[in-house]
Amino acid sequence: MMALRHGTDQLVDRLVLDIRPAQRGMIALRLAVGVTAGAAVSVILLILLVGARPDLANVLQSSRFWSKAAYMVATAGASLLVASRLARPGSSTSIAWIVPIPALLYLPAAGMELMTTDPSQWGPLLLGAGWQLCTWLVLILSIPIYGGLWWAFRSFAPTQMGATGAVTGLCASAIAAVVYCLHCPSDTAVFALVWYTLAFAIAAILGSIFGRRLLHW
Amino acid sequence: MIRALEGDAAAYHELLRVLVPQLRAFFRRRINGDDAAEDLVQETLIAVHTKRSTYDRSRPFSAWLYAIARYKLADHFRMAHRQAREELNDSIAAPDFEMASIALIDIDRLLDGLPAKQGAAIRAMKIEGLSVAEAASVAGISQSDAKMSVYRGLKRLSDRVQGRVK
Repeated sequence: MMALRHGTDQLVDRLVLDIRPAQRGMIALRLAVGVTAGAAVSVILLILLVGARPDLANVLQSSRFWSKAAYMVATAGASLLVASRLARPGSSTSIAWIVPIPALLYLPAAGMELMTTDPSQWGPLLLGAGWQLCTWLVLILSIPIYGGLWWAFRSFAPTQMGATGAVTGLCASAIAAVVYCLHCPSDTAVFALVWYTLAFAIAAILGSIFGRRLLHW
Repeated sequence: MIRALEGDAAAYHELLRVLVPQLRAFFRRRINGDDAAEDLVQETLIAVHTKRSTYDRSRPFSAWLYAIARYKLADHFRMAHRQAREELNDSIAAPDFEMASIALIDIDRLLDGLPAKQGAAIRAMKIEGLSVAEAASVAGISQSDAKMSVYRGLKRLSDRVQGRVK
């Protein structure tokens, strides 16, 4: 026992010798680097796999396009904020309620679309120009971003593995959805709210499963 | 801690010195075995050191510290649990016994395929470990006959096994 205590004292001395000024803003910096690198890979992947939509220049003036993009950017931002809290041991995660807010704000837009559309046309409105492709591509494009987030989290100290994995998975898929906006030919709120949100949910579940193994420190 | 984060070695030394007894008390209250508790103290100190830039200067230090300590404690229990389960699996499975039973079944099958005298001689001398004289008297045959039976039986077995392999 005395030997062990002596070992602890030695450890303290060794750690003190190793002290260097800690980097301020390290968490924000690493998250930014990880997300940017991952998103860059996703954009390249998107262009290689399916290319940008041909009418991209036109839709940049449409409010539908921008409200769809805003939903995804807001979801990504909210989950990134929660993830940065989860990166620090003992931090409060009481702001987690902001994550579903973008979806709730987007809901009225989908309601308006349904009301202004004849019920016989609800099928095409919902199914758009290929929902399977959309959901799967968002999931594929989120893999590099999840990788970037994982790289960032390696120097962090998350203590709630399941939650951290889910939030990083959600964040990765939301950013991937923003990237996918460059291609996705369907701009209706109903379509986005159903199929993108499905992709987000799958990504959060997968992220939580993998997070438990990958984020351990 | 904040002065330590700025790179002040003296302040850092002071801080760690104060932390050691606190952490020691924290872990000893929660697990059996002073050695295991001391291991956890050391692991927590290393984590405090390597993860120190995840400390948010505007928040209480002890919340950060004990979140790390609790994480290390949970890790310890998880590992101990996994170890206990593996040990249990090992003792339930008893692989030696399984292998031995399978081998015995194989041997029985092979020996049954031999002429009765050869099979009995091999069983008596090679498996039960009797001497040539004992085996011969049990079977009621001469010693040279017993030796010859073992030799012929083993040769036939090896031919058969090789033939099956080829």
